[in-house]
Amino acid sequence: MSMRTRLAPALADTHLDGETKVTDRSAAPEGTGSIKVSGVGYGYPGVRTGQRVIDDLEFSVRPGEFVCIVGPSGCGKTTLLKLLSGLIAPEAGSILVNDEAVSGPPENLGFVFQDHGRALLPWRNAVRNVEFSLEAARVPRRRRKDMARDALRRVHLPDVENLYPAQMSGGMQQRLQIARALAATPSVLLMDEPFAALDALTRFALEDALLEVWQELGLTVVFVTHDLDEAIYLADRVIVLRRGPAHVVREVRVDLERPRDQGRTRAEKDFVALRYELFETIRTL
Amino acid sequence: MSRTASGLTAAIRSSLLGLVGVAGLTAVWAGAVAGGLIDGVPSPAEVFPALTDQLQASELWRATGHTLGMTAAATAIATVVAVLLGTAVGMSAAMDRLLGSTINTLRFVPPVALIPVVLLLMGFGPGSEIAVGAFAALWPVLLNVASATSDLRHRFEDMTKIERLNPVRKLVTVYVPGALPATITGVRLAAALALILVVAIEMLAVPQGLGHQLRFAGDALQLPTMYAYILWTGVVGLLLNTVLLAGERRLRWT
Ligand SMILES: Nc1ncnc2c1ncn2[C@@H]1O[C@H](COP(=O)(O)OP(=O)(O)OP(=O)(O)O)[C@@H](O)[C@H]1O
Ligand SMILES: [Mg+2]
Repeated sequence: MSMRTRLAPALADTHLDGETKVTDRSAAPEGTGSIKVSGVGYGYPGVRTGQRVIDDLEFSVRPGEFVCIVGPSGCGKTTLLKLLSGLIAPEAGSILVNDEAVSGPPENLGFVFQDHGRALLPWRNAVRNVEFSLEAARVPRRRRKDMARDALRRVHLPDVENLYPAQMSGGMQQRLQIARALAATPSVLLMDEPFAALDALTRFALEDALLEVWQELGLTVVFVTHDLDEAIYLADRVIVLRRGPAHVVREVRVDLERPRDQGRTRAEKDFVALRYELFETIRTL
Repeated sequence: MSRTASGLTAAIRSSLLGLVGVAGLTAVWAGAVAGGLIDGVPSPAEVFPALTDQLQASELWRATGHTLGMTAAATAIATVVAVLLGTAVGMSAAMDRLLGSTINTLRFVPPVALIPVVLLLMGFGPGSEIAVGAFAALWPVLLNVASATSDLRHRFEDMTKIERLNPVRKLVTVYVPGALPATITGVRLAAALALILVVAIEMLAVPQGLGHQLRFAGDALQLPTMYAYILWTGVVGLLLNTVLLAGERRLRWT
């Protein structure tokens, strides 16, 4: 039986009760939301055969953890997310999501693409775009609308139900994409530089909306970014990859107090120290 | 002023401009005939009364009905075949490799070149009209559907995998709604081509419809009537395009 369908009623019910606090994850099986990558290698077929983009990659993510991945452009971050989501299969090593070997996209996994144009259907309005993923997850029709509205509300997009993606700003479309990824209550959410194309203020607002949702739903998040400040602000742990072939060079725990605050957190001594440390690491890559 | 009202004024203004164009061209035509610049062409003063006469005769309307019926049948058959083939080619790289080169060869065969063959196979009747019209009408729909579907396949490849859509669901929720606007544009272009080919085969071989009336008037040396039919065929094409364009605008999501 699927996580998605099991968690779905819990989310819908909390909405109907007008209660928005933590979704009950105690019913979830052991290992739900965990990720384990061991000895993973991958090279794109036909491109400089034998040369791997990723080699001997090793890390794991605890259930409910927020992990950010940083690394130079072209080092293989998107490739890594494609491997984690089962869009491509590793040549070597193993990937476990929810304690199960990944062979194709797992049921309870959400993916937020860097480019919302590759995710949102232009002929569906906002609420119907969210419902798309509920239809795909076989959520019964009568519950879809409520769950879709609930997801839109979580990303602070309440009054746009009838707008089409083309009628929304870039930030709104990215929120919509996140709402859709969340609607079917995944246990793992993978995000590929989701805020890279946005202005600073929109970005801050979306970061906070994401942290709020993450805490409410108890998701596991793997978030790729090239922005060190963003990584430190969001994460429990920052993983630094290096290029050619990609592997982990550094892992840094972020123990900054939660809930975080854009102004206060970024001014904290520890934040500044972490940023200095990470910057020095990346600069030598 | 409301938006629809200003839209209406704009529409009226653009039709007025169109009429000015027609009037200008008619004036040039009348001048050229009167000045003896072109020979063997009747003047507008002869053609327009001939057209009014014909508009009151039942043959013109029967011929128009026949030609439009053949055009509609040809377009409908072509659309069904083209949507099926185009979706298959657009959805699957294997189908594209299998059929792509055949399609790209056949689409450069001029439909008129098929007329003799089709006449031999199907005789001098409506069947031949529909077959030749459908052959011409096939390509715009097929190419539009195939390229729209293939764009959708690449654009939403990862997303549809993440959502774990099976092929049927992918077809119904992504390809069909996504390719609809391009399909409708293809149908509009296809109908215009079908009309041209249907009229051509009627002129050459099938003794029915507008093409036949046109040819018949010419053979009888009733030149004003022949030109009246030429004009009328143009008007029919224009109306057909306008109707389909209006339908296309209603169905578009972009
Ligand atoms: N489809 C593909 N076919 C062949 N090579 C590819 C493909 N996609 C990516 N690569 C190569 O793999 C390497 C890693 O690419 P990837 O997109 O994972 O990098 P990235 O870390 O996400 O970069 P960025 O930060 O710029 O998004 C690059 O060298 C790239 O050229
Ligand atoms: Mg990338």
